[in-house]
Amino acid sequence: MRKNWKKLIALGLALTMTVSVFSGCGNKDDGKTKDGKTKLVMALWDEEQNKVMKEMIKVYEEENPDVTVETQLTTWAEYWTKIEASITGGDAADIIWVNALKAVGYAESGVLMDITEAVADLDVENNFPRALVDGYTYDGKLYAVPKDFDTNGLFYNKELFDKAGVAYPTDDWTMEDLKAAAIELQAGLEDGEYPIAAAYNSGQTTYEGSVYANGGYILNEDRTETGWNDPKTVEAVQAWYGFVEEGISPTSEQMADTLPDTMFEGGKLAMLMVGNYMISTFEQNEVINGKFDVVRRPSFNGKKTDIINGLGYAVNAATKNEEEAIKFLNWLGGEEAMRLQGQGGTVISARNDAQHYFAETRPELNLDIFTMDLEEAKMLEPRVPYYSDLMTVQREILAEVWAGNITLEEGTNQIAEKWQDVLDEKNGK
Amino acid sequence: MSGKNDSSKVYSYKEKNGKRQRNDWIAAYIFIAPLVIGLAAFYVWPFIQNVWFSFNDVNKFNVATFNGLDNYKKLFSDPALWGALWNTVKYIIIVVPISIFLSIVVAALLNASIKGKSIYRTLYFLPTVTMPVAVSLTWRWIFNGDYGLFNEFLGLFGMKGHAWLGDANTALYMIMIVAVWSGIGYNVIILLAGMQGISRSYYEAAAIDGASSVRQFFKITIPLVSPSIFFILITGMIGAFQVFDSIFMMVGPENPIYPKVLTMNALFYRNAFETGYKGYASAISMFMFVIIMIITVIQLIGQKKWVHYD
Amino acid sequence: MKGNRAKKNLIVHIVLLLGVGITVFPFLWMVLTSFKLPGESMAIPPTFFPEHFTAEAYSKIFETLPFAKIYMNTIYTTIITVVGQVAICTLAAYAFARINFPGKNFIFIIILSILMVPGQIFLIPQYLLIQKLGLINTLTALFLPGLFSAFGTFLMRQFFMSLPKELEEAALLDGCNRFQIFNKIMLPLVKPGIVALSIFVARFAWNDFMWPLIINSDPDKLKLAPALSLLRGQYANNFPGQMAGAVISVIPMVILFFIFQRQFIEGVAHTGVKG
Repeated sequence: MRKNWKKLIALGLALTMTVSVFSGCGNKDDGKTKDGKTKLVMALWDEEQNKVMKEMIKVYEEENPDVTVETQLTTWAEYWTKIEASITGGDAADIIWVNALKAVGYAESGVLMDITEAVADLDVENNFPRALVDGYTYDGKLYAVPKDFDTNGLFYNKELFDKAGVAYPTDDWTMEDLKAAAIELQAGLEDGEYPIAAAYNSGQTTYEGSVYANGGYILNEDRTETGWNDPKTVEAVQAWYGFVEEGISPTSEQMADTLPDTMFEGGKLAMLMVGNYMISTFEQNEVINGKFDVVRRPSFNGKKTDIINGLGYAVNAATKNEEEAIKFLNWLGGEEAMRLQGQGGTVISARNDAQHYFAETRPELNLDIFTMDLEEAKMLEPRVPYYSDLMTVQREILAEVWAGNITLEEGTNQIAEKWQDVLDEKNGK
Repeated sequence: MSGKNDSSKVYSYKEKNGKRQRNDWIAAYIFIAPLVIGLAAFYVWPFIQNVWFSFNDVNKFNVATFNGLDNYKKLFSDPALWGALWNTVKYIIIVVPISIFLSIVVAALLNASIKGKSIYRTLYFLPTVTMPVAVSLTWRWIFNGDYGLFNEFLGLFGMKGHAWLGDANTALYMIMIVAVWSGIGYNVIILLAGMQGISRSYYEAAAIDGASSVRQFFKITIPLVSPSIFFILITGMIGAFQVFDSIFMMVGPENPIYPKVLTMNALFYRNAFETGYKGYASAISMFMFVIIMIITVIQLIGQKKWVHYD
Repeated sequence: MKGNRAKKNLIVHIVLLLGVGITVFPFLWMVLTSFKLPGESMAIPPTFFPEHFTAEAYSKIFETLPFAKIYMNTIYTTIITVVGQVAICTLAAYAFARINFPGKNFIFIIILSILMVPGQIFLIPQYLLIQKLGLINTLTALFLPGLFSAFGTFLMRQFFMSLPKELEEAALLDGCNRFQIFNKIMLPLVKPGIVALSIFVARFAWNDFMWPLIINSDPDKLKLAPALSLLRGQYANNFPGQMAGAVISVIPMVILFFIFQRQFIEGVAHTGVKG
């Protein structure tokens, strides 16, 4: 009896496998649902935002009854792999979330649709921050509509400040003010508690902004030269790295073991430079919730230059529903969608007239600062198709610097040299 | 099924055998068909493809461009590869002997006639059954420099804690500790099986001769379980080349020291699926294949010298 | 004499208990942490028992990732892999062990050589093959290559070869065909082998990490092991959450193990020493 069962199962399995193997291939979506409606798919990551998007989609579907939109959620870690694999496989989503770094590479490979004409009515030049629009422009053409952006602020733990008897940070702080407060905090805090964290890979939130404020640069406009060994650049990075050297920041090993974000959430870090995207996460941790606030980043050399990064809505060049996708894209960049997104409280909507909604979701926090310095803000670098090669070099060498194995000067020289090699090669020198 | 052959169905002896043999062959082919088709599709052909890929540059969108011996040239000049190989060697040198030693001790203790043997055996085997990534996650938490229990424990002895998994100099050793911890159960079972197969008469004879239990252990037990020890040795060495879960989970790609603690398999994974150099990764896998072969051959030759078969 | 013996036994027990303590403690810690609040898990000095006992971490991870679905995926693919591999390999093993057919040795040598080759060699081509078949992010992709095993075939062949030939010869003379012999005679006799292989494959399929990590990225097509690594990435700050994920991933195997202890351990001896 049992043996016959086994045979049956084996046979059944064989059939199931054969069927599933063959049902897997050749089944391309034709972009339409059963009742003739157009089906659009939007690829995204971030589960919190997925909920907001779904609410927004409901509104759009009401206004456009012959279209249904599906979201395709992938986790952040897998998102780009999935997008690249689905593009190769020919079944990628119609609308794809991109960030500035990836957009350039995809635009160059022809994977994204040129939407310059398609969204002419949105008048992106006047309705969105200049830095973002430039960020999604490649070779003079627009490839994504700015969706949201993040900037950085100085978050602080009120309890730790009270404990050490130090006055809270203010929006007018300079780097010197920051350092002075940090030294005071160090005296008043316990073992295992730190004034501030300056990690080797925190450039986007800490030193990169200061580099620009100081007059240095990472990559020049036409992508032919790197400013990594420019003395002004090095000076700015040193200001932050110095915290590690002087013990004001945890060591590189400690930060590798426990991320600065985690330390802040656990109430072990008095100050943390990070973007507005962390706010919901902080709120969900019972240790830090209600005990933190944020101020503008400290000025460097008199300037509050910050790094802005953001996401954009791009269209798959191979979409089967071009007309509907473009229509949806225009709606996404329009007033209504941007307002709904901002009110969702997860991100700052990119559109100028919708930026204030985010801050309004939490009146008890000083969230206006995130939209204050947009004009001078610089988009995250290096925005070139081969950015991952450059970033790998940067990361590896800075890790060595932070671990104390080489000096910052040696490190920045090495980065500059290697970057220049790559740039020269890509520019055909 | 049984029954005498009807006279009208009598075949000549030769024909009957021939037909039966053919039926036998057909049956055999049916029996092996699923396996052979599957192995051909998922193993044999992939092996050939892998060799081919190792001579190509395969990019993110899986387009292959022939590049001759470039990948192999890169192999020999790549510090990351030699670093990973050295990490793997370190891993073998430390994990295998310590594992063997501890497992022999535990197996010997268990082999003594004591109560509760099977309970002990079950508990020691627990780490082997459980998901390596889950276990690695737990140990990662225990070894955490700021909040982990390990540093707290060290503090009891007045020792200062450290960011064990954040420091490139110590991280690999923590991973090795976990490897020893999780491998003991498995090795103990193998050794116990070997020990229990040793005939009592050896021990009795030795006892009559006046040998102490310690002497008996070294002169009888160890030599006679040497086949099991050899097995553990070889699987341990080859296993070091397969290590991945613990490195990925306890250190992981977001950790700046990750490139420094890679062992061969982790390096392969990184090149194939993280940085996207699939052609180079194929060459790495071929390299690993050759090294494992060499190790196996050396061991097989060497074991003739020290492994004692009945 | 007796006193000495008792003393010796005591020492043996003490040492063994120490070892057991070290072996079991991480699991204890895993469970205890999973019932704490994130803040408490980061308390310095660490608390042992949760001061505020809560199962919040468990409900949280089910919100973040579709853990219920991921759990079912893992159960489903494990069962299919076990039944499938055992069936396919046992069938083939019988033929290799007991039937002489043209090409047998040649094919078997190839199978043996697959055994000698480290798994990485096949990974990239397997990934590309699955991609070509359009099976990325399907459950099928999770178990498909695992259905075919050189090791499983080799193991079962050993078991078949240890059976006396006379059994079959008698049945053949009686006019039975190979399928009947396989079903009614051989299969029941290699039951220990089937059990050993099933346990081995179940353990492998449940705990497998690299392949499912590579092949599926959609949250609801994941297996438990890669899901845990996502928890570590996304929930870097929620240690109880990570531990909760670890606990639920570990429990089924532990339960299975406690029920089938003898078979697990015998299986190791079989797949180990004999191989």
